[in-house]
Amino acid sequence: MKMPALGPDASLRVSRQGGFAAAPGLARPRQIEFADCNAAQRQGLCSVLEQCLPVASKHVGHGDQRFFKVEVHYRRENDDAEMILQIAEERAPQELLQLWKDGAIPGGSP
Amino acid sequence: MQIRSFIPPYILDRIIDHGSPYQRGCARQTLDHVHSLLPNPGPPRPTAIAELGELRTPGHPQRRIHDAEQRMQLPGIPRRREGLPASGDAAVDEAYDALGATYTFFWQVFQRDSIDDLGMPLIGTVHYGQGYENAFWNGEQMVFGDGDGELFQRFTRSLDVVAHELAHGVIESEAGLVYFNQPGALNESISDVFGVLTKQHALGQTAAEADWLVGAELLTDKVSGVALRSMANPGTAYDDPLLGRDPQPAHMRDFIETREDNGGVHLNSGIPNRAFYLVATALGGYAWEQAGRIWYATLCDPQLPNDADFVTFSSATLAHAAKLFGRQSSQVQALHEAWTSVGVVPR
Repeated sequence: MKMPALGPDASLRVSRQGGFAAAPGLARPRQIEFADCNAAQRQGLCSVLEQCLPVASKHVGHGDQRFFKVEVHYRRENDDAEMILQIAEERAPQELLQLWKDGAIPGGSP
Repeated sequence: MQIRSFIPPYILDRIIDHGSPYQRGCARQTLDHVHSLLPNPGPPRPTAIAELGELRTPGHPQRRIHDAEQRMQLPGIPRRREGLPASGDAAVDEAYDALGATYTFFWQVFQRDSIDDLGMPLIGTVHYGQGYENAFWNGEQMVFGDGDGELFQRFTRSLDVVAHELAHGVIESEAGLVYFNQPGALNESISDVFGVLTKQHALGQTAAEADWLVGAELLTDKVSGVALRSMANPGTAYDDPLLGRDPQPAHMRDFIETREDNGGVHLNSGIPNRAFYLVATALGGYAWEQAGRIWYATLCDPQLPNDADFVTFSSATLAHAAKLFGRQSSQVQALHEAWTSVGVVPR
């Protein structure tokens, strides 16, 4: 999977899923609009996504293992498009973990 | 082996989100099929520890409890081997005792020798991560967190939770149910079934005496709830400001179509969970003696496809009930009523 070109109309949603205790309150989805970010922050978000690409997999969650789901919505050739990445918890880059946990965007807060 | 399909799954996802109702239906069916073709993790892989090898000891478990010391490296430092006295660490000793009770349940009731029926050592790691609020089976071993102390206590406190994780290994060794959509919900439900049966067996409880709760000992007193799941009344286990509300459906009319949680494997499992509860309580006595035997025979049936949906599974349970107890038996009748009560009509 390749990284798409993400403009200011893109948005990103990160949630933690799966686990024995898959309660709704534990997913804690975090939504980030690129329009609310400056250029450095958008670059930081793209950098997090690029780190996620090589560790993303469809085969996550077996046997109550937790995983992160990253959903990117963007425009491609005047149409809505989306990219979904699933990353096993133990393979998740630290930056993704911080983004989900604290909303910490590499490059500063929005 | 690389799986190729003409329409990539992400396009099917798009159709499901944006297509017409007909397109959505077709795309969802296709996507389900594509996922059914995706490889399973397969039977449990022996760990390096297991590969050290020991003579089989049928009827006696070989337990190895490790301590991750709040890190996330597996398996961690060995803390208690089979036959050694209690360590004094509550999590280590709870895991040791619970894995022993689960082994005893499968051995005494089904004459099954461990996860793979070949005497596989039972490897458990406790104190995994910092405030880690989960327990899981990773294809080789069981792993338990200490909980965050706010919502969850340590995950070794509930025997049914430890047994649930071990049962995931049994399921991978047998039916290998795909962890997605309905087969994934069956995978979760069967783990819950053998989890609660292990607890009932250890306590000597009949179906009428049991609470049919999963993870009742995990929640702290700050949480408004009684457990993480209720097999008797799915959707009623908790309703808490932080945890949210128990989202499990109890009937097919409330089936949740979702792309979250691998297609709602921890959500829709409420439906077969309640079917099991209904048949077990209708038959009475010890649930593992009749309903449990039917579920175990179905799980171990090589004819059960790894992408079985609820209807396929329910039909298989009826076939096994007929084989075990007779076609005109009260067990078959109770089972048929249980499945239809939750909106699953066997073929």
